[in-house]
Amino acid sequence: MKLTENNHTASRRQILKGGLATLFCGSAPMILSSRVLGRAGNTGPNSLIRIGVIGNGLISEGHRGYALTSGQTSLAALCDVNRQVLEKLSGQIKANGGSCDTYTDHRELCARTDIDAVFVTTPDHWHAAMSIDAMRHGKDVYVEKPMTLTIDEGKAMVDAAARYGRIVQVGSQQRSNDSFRKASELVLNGYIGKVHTIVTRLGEFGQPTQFSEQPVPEYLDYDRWLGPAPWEPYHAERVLGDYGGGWRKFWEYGSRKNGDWGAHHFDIIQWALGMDESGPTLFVPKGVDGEHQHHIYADGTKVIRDGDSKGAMIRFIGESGEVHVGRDDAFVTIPAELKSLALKPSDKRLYASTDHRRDWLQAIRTRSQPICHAGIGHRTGTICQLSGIAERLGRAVKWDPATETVVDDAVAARMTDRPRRAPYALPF
Amino acid sequence: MPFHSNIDHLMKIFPSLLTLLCLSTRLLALDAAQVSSVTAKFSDPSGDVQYAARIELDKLIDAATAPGNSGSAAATRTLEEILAKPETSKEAKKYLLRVLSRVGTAESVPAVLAIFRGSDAMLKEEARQVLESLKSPAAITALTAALTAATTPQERLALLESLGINRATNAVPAIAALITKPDAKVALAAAESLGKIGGPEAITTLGKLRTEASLSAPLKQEIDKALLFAGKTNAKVVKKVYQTAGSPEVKLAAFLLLNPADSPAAVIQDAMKSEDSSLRLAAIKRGMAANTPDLLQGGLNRSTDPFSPNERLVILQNLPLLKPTEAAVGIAIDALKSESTEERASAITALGILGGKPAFDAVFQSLTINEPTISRALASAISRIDAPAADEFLLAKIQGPESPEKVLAIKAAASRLIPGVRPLLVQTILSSEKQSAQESMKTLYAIGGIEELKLLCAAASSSTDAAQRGSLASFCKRLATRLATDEAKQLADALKAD
Repeated sequence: MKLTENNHTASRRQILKGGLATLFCGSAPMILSSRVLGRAGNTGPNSLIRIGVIGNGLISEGHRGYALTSGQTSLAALCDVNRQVLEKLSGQIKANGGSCDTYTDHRELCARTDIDAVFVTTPDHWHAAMSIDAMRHGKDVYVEKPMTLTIDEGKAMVDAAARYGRIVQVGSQQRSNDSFRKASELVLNGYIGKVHTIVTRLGEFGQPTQFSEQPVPEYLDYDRWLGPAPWEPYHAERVLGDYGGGWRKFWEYGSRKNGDWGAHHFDIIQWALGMDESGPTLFVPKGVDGEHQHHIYADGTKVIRDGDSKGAMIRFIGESGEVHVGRDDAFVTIPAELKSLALKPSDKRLYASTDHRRDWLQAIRTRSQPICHAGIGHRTGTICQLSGIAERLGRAVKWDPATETVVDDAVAARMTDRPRRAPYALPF
Repeated sequence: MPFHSNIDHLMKIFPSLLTLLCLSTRLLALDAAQVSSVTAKFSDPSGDVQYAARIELDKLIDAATAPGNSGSAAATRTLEEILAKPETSKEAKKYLLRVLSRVGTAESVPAVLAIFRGSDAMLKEEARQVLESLKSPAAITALTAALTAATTPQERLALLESLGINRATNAVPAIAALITKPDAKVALAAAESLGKIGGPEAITTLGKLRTEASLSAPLKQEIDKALLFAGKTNAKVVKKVYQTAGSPEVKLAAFLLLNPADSPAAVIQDAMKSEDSSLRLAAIKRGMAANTPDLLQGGLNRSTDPFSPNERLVILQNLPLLKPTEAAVGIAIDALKSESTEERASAITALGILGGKPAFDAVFQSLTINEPTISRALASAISRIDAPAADEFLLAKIQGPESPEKVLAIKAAASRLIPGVRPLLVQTILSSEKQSAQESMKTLYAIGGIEELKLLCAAASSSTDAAQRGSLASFCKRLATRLATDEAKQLADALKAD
């Protein structure tokens, strides 16, 4: 349901959709607020990439702020199943002299022809359906990590991006950080020798519980919040956006820490190993063949979750050295001189970006692939999801990255996708 | 080794063999009593206990259905039996169905379909999801057989959806048979299902059905959509549907699915002639997004470009979609030379949206045009155009000496909210600059408020020039009428009394 509409947006939409009739139907001079028109030092919104933000919870704040202030974008519309959130945000935007439309149903936002691109910043279980719907309506997409909830959805995303010629950036933004790139380049070019072990830190969520039912708040479209996920009674904790828990704890809406932090760190590991078009071959849960969850690549490289990472987010251990890397430019090498080593001309260089969102906008303008496109997001997401499947089944799961199929385990193979609650089928 | 030694050896290892045998038995069979005991916990008031029961059940099932465990089928049978028991709680049934969506087999179909004979909508939806999750060839065969044997529309709808999602090519004949049956809802679902299944057989079947005269228009449209869905990766099918689709919705969808190779400039131009504005827009967007050189090579020039007047207009209307913006501005400025009023108006509107200094300069100079259509486009453009220091430029002109540009700047102020402009307009009205004063009156008439009215009424009262006094009084009266407030009326009446 559409909640608000500003006159300016309607005007442009009419121009775009209405043809000659609307173009020549004006009768009086239009007097609009200069702030609405985006003056006061900013570039006008009409020459900018017009953005919609779908899902306006915790993670969306930075994206929304960027859309308002980047100088390359204008914020045209917000969508959320929580009307209270929409009213609060649109009120804030209005108080600052701006204006944007609000929707509770993403399909209405996606159907608007005057919006160029969307941020999809909902819980994971909605990522694929919303992103594909946006793409089929001609929009470019920045989707939060992990790109999808299931492996089959990842394939569908890659397919949709190719079919509709859309630019997809997955929000594994560590790729747009110098330290992670430099660390990956050292590993990729063999400066620590053959890498045999990688330790990464994901942490743990507490166990979820089966909440008793609470009344659904009148401002929340709870059925739409659940969307394709199985029906469960409402509880505020279930829908809570909280980096320490909330919906992130539930398998129904994500892959717990595997997707929460794994989508960042597994992504960098893939990058550093040059495996963006492939992946590991074995996923082993905690307690099976050792105390740590791990996965193994075909060449034997082992990625251990929550082992001794020496305080780093990712610790690459090679035959002749180590690279430790984390956020806030934490970057340590053994030997130390590797850190400042200049790559040789013959060395492989990785795609360099210092701003993940700006890289997406650049890709939109040039119609080229961004640093973390759908194909990459799918392969990283596959690791998150297979780690989760192995964890849930309590047994090792074999994977063939070439054919993208589970080997010799019918139940695990079934779990590469999930049934979707009606009427929330995946759009094509 | 002597025989008795073998016996001794067997006796020694018997306890271990017994343990292994027991372990194997545990692995091979799922203990129904144990599962029932776990499912009973789903009625526990504690959420933690309920959640723990889910985990416990998952573990039991996952162990029983692990690779190499020949007890998998028996395990699912156990689940199905508990599912069928009337004493099993709804919560337990709900979760048992979710478990079946991971481990259920072809043999699970009857037990799952039995749920549709109950009255609980939530359980039916959970059951439908189990059917959707059954993907093995044996399960597809079972689902197809169930479709033929189904007795209720609800069962048929659930099975059709599942067969569609699972791309059950073998089910195409059984599904196609339902399209010509009287139940319209089932017929539509059958068409949709065939679309999802895709593949040569579904495409051929849908292709034949779309020519079936006896089918209703909505069903034919659904068949078209299904055909498009089925053939979305088949360029020939998409092209065929695009060329022959009856409904604008399907034609548009087909256009969007056309490969770039199948949508060269000629196809785009053809789509631009469509009566359907959505298709026209899609065609222009495609051409412009791709910056198709054939489409806009050399910009828009009536004597050299290949476009009809209507196409040219649609392109101008949508110029803001063209990247880079500079190219779009260039084309719009060229179009200002057109003899067509409509084209110039479209170009001005586009410039207003595109913004930037060249666009602003062009719009500003166009303010000299006094044709109504263009004036309206100019008003719209000037109100919104974004350009560096545009407001400062206009204010400087308004403050400057009498000139054609000053008149244009005052005219612009009628459409554009320029902070601090209204006192300047009052000053101009009271000045000796005849053209600027006249234009200022028009502008203040459009944007003036009570404060301006007060100033002008005072000026009219105190003016010693009879002609100016008359002119101001007349203007004040018109402004007061537009403002339509008691205060404004009193001011104008007082002036009249003078």
